[in-house]
Amino acid sequence: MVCVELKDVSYRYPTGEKRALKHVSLQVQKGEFVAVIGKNGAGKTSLCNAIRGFIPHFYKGELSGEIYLNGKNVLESSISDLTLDAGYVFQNPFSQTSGTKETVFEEIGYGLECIGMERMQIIEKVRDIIQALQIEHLAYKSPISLSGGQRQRVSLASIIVMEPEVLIIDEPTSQLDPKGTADVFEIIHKLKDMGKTVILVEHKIDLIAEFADRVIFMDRGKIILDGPAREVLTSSILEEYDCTMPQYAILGREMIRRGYQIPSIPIVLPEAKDAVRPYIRTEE
Amino acid sequence: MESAQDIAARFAAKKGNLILDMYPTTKLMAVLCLLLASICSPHWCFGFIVFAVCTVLTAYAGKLTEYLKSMRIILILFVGLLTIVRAFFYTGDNLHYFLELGSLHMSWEGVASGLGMSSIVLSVTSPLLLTTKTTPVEDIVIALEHLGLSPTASFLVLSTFQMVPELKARSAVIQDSQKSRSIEVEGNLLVRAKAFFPMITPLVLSSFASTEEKSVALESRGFNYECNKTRIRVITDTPAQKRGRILMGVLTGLFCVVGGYFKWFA
Repeated sequence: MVCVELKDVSYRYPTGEKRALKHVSLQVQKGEFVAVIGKNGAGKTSLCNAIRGFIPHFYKGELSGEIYLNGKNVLESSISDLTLDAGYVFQNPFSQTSGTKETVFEEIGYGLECIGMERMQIIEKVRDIIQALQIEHLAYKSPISLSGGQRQRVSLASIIVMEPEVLIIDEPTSQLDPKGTADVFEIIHKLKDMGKTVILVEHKIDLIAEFADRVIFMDRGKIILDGPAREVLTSSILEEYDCTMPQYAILGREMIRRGYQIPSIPIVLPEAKDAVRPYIRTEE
Repeated sequence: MESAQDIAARFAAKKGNLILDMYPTTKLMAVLCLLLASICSPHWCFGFIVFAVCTVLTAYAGKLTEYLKSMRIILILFVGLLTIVRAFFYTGDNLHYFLELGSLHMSWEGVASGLGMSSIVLSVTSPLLLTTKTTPVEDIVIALEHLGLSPTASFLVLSTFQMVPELKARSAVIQDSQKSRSIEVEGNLLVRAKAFFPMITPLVLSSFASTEEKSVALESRGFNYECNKTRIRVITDTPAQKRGRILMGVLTGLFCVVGGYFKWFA
């Protein structure tokens, strides 16, 4: 089942000279974990905003093409209409709290309050998600007192609890320290295990290699590469566009260049270990 | 983690204290009634009696320290300063002066007038502080929603209250970053005054920038979803409190009529 479909979408921001998206077409199937990579200004966030309907309903501008989210025409639906179709987690962990709740528990339940869910149902769902994401220790803290990593985990919980069909996560770790990044990716790992449909924008290529089924590489508003994670992350085209590969892929390519025989270019640690192991000489 | 039923009880919890458990509308009605009564009261001591009673009630609710901390400023600025200024500058016939400072004269009538004004201030601020110190802001807003306040308006009220600690935290970060740019932000009054604009400008600009992000984030969580909103936190009004509010209104009306007659006509 196709969850997200873009057909020849082009977009220019109201004050933009150049188009942020140029003739973008793609489909995302239910349960797919898609990572979107590219340099700053490549159009990754604009793509996410278009899927969720922020473009053009919030950001206005000039948009052409068609966008469908769970079968709904995004251009003909308001942002509120799409609330249960797609959840969105933003980059900045400090601008996603409602600013009206005294506890994390209530903060997570805020979206469910907004859609008029019955009180006991909200409490049960929030309780379940807090346990699933192992953030019980945060439940009754004030959202203001949380660190960036903790806030981002609460933001993820706040969106996941609404059970949207698609989760769009835009650079959730860009403003976090390594501990915060690890915490957030722990939750992203759980999302993958739950079989959620996820569109993740990230610069941390090594972490993407671990989770993504499919990778889309963008540059200057266009999709340059779109395919299985291994195919895209080891493509020499990334080098032509000055985009970093996973460190294990760099290792693998260097090994091939130097004449070592390896089954395939690794993109994750276990594969890299398997590639290197035959060539490690141990002292007897 | 505790069960859903326990969590539900936590967010509807009665604390077993008459003041803490009082419905917010009852407290707000008391503020309004006391304001009207103090205006119509023939004697200046009314507000001071209200202050004394509110202090006792706040102590009963266990919030005395915070209450007195806020009242201290009001007592010094509004009561003390107001009375002194009024006492010195009150004009009228047959005034009885008891103190002279150069060309300034303090009269008993001025003192009485100052105390009368202070009484009105105390009549409003004492129960208002009692209400705000003993009632979570969200409970007040929920009570107002029950009276017809729109979800958008209630969001504005609640987010305004939470904005203060957030701005405080953000200004601390800005202060540190300006210090790293060799801008002096600590020291005497002149130094702090010079640092005002380098501090306030990024604070305001960053607040504007984050407002757009916040708006989009709220939209994505269904802020404008068309339905009757629900809440995890609940507060309960009781028939006894409803009757109490009606009685409060009636008694205030009677007091205003009788007190007003003696104040202005007798």
